[in-house]
Amino acid sequence: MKPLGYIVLLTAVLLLMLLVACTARNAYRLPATHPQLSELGERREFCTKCHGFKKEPFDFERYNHTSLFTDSHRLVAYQDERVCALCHSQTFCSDCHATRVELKPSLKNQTENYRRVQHRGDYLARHRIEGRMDPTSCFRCHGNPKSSQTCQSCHG
Amino acid sequence: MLAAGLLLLMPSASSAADLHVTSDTIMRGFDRQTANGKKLAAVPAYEYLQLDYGNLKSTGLSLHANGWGRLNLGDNYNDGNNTGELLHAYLQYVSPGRDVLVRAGRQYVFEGVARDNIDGIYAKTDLVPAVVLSAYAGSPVTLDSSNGRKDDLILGGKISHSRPGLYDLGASYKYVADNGRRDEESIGTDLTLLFPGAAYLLGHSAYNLVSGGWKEHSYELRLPLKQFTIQPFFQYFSYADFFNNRNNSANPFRFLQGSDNSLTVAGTEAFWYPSEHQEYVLRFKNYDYDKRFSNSQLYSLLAIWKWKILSEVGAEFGRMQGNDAENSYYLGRGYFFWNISPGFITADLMYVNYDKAIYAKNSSLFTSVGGGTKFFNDALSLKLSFDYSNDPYFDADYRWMLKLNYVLDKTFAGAVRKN
Repeated sequence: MKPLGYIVLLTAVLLLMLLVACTARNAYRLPATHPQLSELGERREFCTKCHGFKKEPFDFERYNHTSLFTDSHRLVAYQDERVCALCHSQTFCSDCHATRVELKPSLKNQTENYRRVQHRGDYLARHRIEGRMDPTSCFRCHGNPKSSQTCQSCHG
Repeated sequence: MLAAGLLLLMPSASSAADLHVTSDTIMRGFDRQTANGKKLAAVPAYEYLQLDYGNLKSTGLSLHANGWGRLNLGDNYNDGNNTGELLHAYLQYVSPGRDVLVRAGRQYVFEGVARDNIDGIYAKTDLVPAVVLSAYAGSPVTLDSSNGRKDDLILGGKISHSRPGLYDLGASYKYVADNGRRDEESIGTDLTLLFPGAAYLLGHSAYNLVSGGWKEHSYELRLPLKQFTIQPFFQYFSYADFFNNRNNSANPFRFLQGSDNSLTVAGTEAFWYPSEHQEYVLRFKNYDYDKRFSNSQLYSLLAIWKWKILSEVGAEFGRMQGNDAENSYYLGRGYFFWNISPGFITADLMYVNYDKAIYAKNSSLFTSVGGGTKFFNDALSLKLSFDYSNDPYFDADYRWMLKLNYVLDKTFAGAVRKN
């Protein structure tokens, strides 16, 4: 589809959304914050342990922190970052997503090995293989002039 | 200045103001070998400081800041004796009905196609029921090293509509200019579709308006079945449209933009939860390329046993079956974290065997042991770890790291908040 066609389609969808919205009832609003981890006892990581599997007024199931959540969280984060912000400040996200940090996340939190963060162990050697297999996964965090400073000594 | 002025008014304008300060002081020690073979002892010391002040648990105004700095106590490690970065510093306002959010200052914006650090303003509202609107504008922080910041611009926004129990649908736009030149312009969609049986589809597509092609399609289906969850996924990336060779990109991605390659990743993740304390995961990925490389596969198996909060033992076995020996390896990992409040002990062991040697080494071994404890009602924690590496880049390398974490949590004109 040409860009112009895409924009026309997008505009039509937006207008339809507004039309539907004008007839809708009040929407569910997320609270300002979530209780802290230390207040949750054994019930960490899986939202459904407290919120259940109900899809209304909000579907929390998709935010369950499985052991691979670090690898695949972007699709749910794209939906609405306010859900992430209930528990995580921008500082938490900055360990990986910052424009410039020297310490890789697995090193900054070396003893927290239950967090499956990228680049643990020998990753300097392994990155040449995984970078060839899927460079798009590198690009999201290392793809701009500032965040690529750790790459520049070898890659120029 | 405006932010500081507004902040000074906050305690008087509201009944209470929260102050939250987190300080992470990290010292590392390791040997560094220079080009002439001489060994130098590097002891970099890092300070990560986070400050939040204002209405942190309720609506109203609040200030948030975070940054880091490094001072070399040993040799001149990593180009320069000291360096640092202000990661974010913004003033936030949340309306009493929680239907309007405004941020001003340096901040991260995560909105559909935008995952950017900006100096600017961001606003989000769901004043209209079920419709969320957001917009942002400012200067992209990532481009401050590219010919200065004159005429640098980033702007964009997102609109999304939700029908609880049915779908969430969003459309986003981003425009980036460096010194007045259009570097990036993208539109994208985000989708959650809910099906009967608690199954749902998550997806994201992005279109590059500069190159005129689809950057990405990423879709994932989640199928819960009693103790199992199956998550098949599909991803497509066009290198010519996903990467770019302009000022807001970097090497080696600029080269990839011209490779005219495309990547399709398809596979599945399968989770099995036989009890509250056990988790088993199987992952399979197939990488398929249009031009460079032939098919490759990744297989992973994880087993995790948790016996109480933050106490677990895990094991992982993986195989990257690349198109040739150069891109193939076996990986094994075992670890445990034992929370013995107020302390903990931890250990990690990772071994990787490469089908083809890298710098004449066929394998990597990484081990780490650590421990720590908390003091002063958990306000201060101390963590110490020792690592050993023997891999293509490090020959019998020993490292240590000391981390001091200090948390100050205080409510003014009210009770002291629990940490």
